[in-house]
Amino acid sequence: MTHDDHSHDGHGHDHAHEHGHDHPHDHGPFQPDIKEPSEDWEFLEIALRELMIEKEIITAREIQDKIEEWDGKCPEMGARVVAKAWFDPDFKARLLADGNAGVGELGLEVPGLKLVVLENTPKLHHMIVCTLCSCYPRPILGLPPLWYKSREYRSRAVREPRAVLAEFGTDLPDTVEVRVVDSTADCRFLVLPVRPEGTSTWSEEQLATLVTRDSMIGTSIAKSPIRIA
Amino acid sequence: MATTEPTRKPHDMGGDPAGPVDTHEHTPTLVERRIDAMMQLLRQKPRAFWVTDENRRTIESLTPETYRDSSYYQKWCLAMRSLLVEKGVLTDAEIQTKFEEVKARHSVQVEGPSKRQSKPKAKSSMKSKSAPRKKKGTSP
Repeated sequence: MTHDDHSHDGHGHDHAHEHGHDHPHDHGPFQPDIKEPSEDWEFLEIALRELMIEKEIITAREIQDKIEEWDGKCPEMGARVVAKAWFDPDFKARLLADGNAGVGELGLEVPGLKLVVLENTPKLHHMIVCTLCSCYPRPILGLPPLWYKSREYRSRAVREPRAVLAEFGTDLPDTVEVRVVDSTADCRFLVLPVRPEGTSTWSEEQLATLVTRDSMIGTSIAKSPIRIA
Repeated sequence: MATTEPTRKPHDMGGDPAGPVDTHEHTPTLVERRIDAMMQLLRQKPRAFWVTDENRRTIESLTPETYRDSSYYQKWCLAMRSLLVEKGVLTDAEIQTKFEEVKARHSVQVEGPSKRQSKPKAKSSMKSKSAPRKKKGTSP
């Protein structure tokens, strides 16, 4: 073992496996858990953050708390909304009439934004996109997937939605109208997918397990209970 | 088509031809989540240094090359920098000084005693593999 490598201090490992080897590197393949910054924008992030903390514009604690707040936002929250709408027709009506008030009944908030819930039916399929940037129902689904922000999705979703859907493994019959809805900074959309067949006896909690993130974006449909059971 | 290109800004890409969607999942990295968190803190009360539309305007004002070649949070980071200067929160000079300091600090680590770091492999995990990126237009 060489001793110029301090990154392994406190590791508490034994090196029996290294005897007989003559490697210049002592521990075999080692991948750091967090990649060292190496690009200018990564150095810029560090510089801005350190400056703002030094000047007490922002605190490290606040940044960490905000990260944790968003780590806790995930598609399961949206799945609860969808399952409740499937289970309770009165709630569904209220949700479709006023998205913000509807999700508010589940304790979810979409502050400063208008939330519109779009109901998919056997004849009409909605799919959401933000062609100009990345607007997404973040407070309900968490941070958007990378592909949602990609040039390919943003460009093509409005031009050839069925081809894009096919790339997600979603093949809809020609009898289903596909309607693509372009989000804005002020107005976010959430898709209410079609309730799968064969779930008439399911509880709200069971129904929630069929709701995927992509089914609420409209690039997919809800899971089939056959595949679940 | 080509005839409409001159009037459209780089972010206005709806309807353009493009390749297949890369549907791979990507878990946001720590640096991405930090940028996201900071941008929210700076925009929200009690600071409210700027509003969402100013954030968008800044990103949409990036040169077409920078817009095209930068990853999502890279663009956000550049926008954060210019908005902080525009709003008088930080100065251009102090950012530049700090940037050089941070870069020098990390360059020493990379080229330091631990040689195994010296081979730059596996670029940022948020890069899409479709296009090899050129580092230009990203100087802070």
